[in-house]
Amino acid sequence: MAHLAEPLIRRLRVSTPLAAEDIRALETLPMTIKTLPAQTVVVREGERPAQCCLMLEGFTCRSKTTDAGKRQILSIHIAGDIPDLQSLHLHVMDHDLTTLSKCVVGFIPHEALLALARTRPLIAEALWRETLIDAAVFREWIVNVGRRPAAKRLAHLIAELGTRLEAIGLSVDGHFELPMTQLDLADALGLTPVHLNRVLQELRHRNLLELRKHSVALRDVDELKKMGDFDELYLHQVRSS
Amino acid sequence: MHHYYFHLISPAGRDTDDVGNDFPDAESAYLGAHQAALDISVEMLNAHDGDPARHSFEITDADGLILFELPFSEVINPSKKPALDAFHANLRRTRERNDRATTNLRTEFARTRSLLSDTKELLVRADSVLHQ
Repeated sequence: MAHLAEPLIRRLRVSTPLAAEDIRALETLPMTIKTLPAQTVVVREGERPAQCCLMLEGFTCRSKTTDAGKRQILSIHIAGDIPDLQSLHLHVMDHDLTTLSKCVVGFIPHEALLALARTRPLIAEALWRETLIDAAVFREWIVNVGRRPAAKRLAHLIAELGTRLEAIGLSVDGHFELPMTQLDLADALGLTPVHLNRVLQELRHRNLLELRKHSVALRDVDELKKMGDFDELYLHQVRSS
Repeated sequence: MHHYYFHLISPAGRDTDDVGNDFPDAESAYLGAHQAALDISVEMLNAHDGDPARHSFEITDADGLILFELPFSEVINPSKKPALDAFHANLRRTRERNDRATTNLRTEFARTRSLLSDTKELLVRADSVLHQ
């Protein structure tokens, strides 16, 4: 049976040549497994978590809400991600982490991760790289939400999710689960729900994708990527040396 | 939550919405359409892609009943705020019209049914007369 830390190990090995010792150390990380229903707040803005959340199954998102009650989804997280890794060093959460679907997560105590990073320099480097990639994705999202028209924004987001899910084997032949409501997608793209609905129809009419309840079928990946100006470089899914 | 459909009417024709959106009530759906019409108008103007004033939303409920139409011209006119009073009056009229149609249909149906039962009775009587 694959070890619980497997999604994390696979993920870190993409960017960092971990030694056998590092992998053994990751496998012995203490972890509390929890299954959470959809729309559950994992960590709230202002909280001081004592553990990090490793995604094992499902989708979560990080978000902030304006004083007027408008939510902006900042990033979407899938198996292998540690969306609140920053809490290891920035002790107060400055945004919310919420489940979008039913999720299985592993909570790893901060002290265990800190001890591991101190004793295994390659793991420390790998975690550091993870937070840098995290920032690269945020940069891309700023460009997407701030500068592209609505249909291109949606094309870019779907292309990103398809690419990330394919890397962990969760997208096959352009088909993948996407347990996000239209409201979630609208909040991720800075659009109103009715506008999101209209651009979704536009992508369907152009025969780029089919969006069913909670799943996506890509009809023309190349055209979708072209429409969304999508270049996967910022995901750094390939080791750069 | 209720489901509403937002069909886009333009000089190119009627672009049917077969996905729809959930809103707590018709007023929220109206405000949702208003906000989207504004955003879509701005995008069209930015892209020099047609005249938003010649577009409108036709909003129907889950059963396909047209609840209201929202011309984009109403939204991009700066002197106008979401016309909630007019919207409610219009929605009330639509509902009354719908209720009247339902009542008429019911009356017609009851009349047909009573006619049918009269006919059946006559047939039975005719049958017994024939077999005497």
